[in-house]
Amino acid sequence: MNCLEYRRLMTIEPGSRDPELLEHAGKCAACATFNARLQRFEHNLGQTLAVEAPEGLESRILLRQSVKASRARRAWNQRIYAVAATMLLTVGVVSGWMLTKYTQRVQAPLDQLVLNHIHDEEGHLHERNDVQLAELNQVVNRFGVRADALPAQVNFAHPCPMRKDKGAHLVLAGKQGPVTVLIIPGEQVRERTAVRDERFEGYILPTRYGALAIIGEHGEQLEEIQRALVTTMRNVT
Amino acid sequence: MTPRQIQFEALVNAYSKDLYRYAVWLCRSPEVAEDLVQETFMRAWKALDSLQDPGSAKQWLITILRRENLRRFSRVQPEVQSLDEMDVERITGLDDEFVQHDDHSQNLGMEQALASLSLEYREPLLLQVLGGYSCEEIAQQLDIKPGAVMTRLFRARQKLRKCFEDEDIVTDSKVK
Repeated sequence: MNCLEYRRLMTIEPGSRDPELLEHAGKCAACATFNARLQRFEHNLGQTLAVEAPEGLESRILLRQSVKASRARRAWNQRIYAVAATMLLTVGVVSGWMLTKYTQRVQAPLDQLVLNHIHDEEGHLHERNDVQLAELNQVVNRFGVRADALPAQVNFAHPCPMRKDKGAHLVLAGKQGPVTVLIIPGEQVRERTAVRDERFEGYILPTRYGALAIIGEHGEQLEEIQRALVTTMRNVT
Repeated sequence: MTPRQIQFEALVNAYSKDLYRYAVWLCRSPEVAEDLVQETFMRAWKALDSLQDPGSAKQWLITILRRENLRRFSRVQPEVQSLDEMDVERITGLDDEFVQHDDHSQNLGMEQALASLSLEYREPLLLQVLGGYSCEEIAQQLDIKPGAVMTRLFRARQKLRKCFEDEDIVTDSKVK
């Protein structure tokens, strides 16, 4: 390393501890003097750059940060409250809507209730369970009804919740298609009441335990079904 | 106090003065420098989770400060003025009555020499002397080649020394 190289490298990085540079300074008196002057210069430079920071700088930074953090916390809380309020409102609106729908359904006239029941459980119209006599009796006996024979082919027979109490839901094979028979305990009808919508028709009969609905698709021979029921099932009407 | 708050306060206590020194020489205004430092720490607070290595905290803060300074320039175009003696005294407090007259003159000369350096030469010098950066780190920070950093550092010191000494430090006729 020559003097020129030494001075160039030291000027770039005066704090360098490169062994080659140290070795050169140890051997060259002129460069050692140069280095001493350079270090004084660096000391002076360092002193000049080391200006005093204004008093209270840290405190002002921390104060500003704490105000900012507190604002952010408030904004966050407001967002949480807004979300909670929205959720509460949504739950309220949905619950209100559901309650209204439920009330409408529960307070509906019996004929509408019967049609709603059939539409809601439309899947049962397609059941093909081939229900046997004993199974049918298990479902209808609790209403004081006793079947001595099957009134027709019974494709579905199951207890089913009605408006006032648990009833029975039967699906028989009619001439046109499935015929629904609902045993509805606790409901009061004074006389035979017609039931009809765009797809189904039938009637509701008053019984000792409440009401009996016989509903089929338009054009179904429901009177035949009623006769078969009366003939085979005691106390059904 | 949360661990995040403790970490932030430690950063402020450890580096706010260094950052202020860097900022004041970067923008040459004590008021703007303090604003820059405060804004830097506000951004650091927001991004504190991204600081993975506490050992690189100072470099991280200087990077934020430099970006903030660039944003300041993109918002307003301040007139760049050379510092007169009064400005220098405002920055350094050299009008302090306890400063000896000889030191005062010498430091004032250095101040003026530093202030007259263009940012191209002044910034690498600040990063090296105040930031403790190596040439490679300065190159990364300024997005230039290490060779260019070495040239700028060399020229910066040469210019400063010329203000004090007639002798050219490297091309001295006595140097072989």
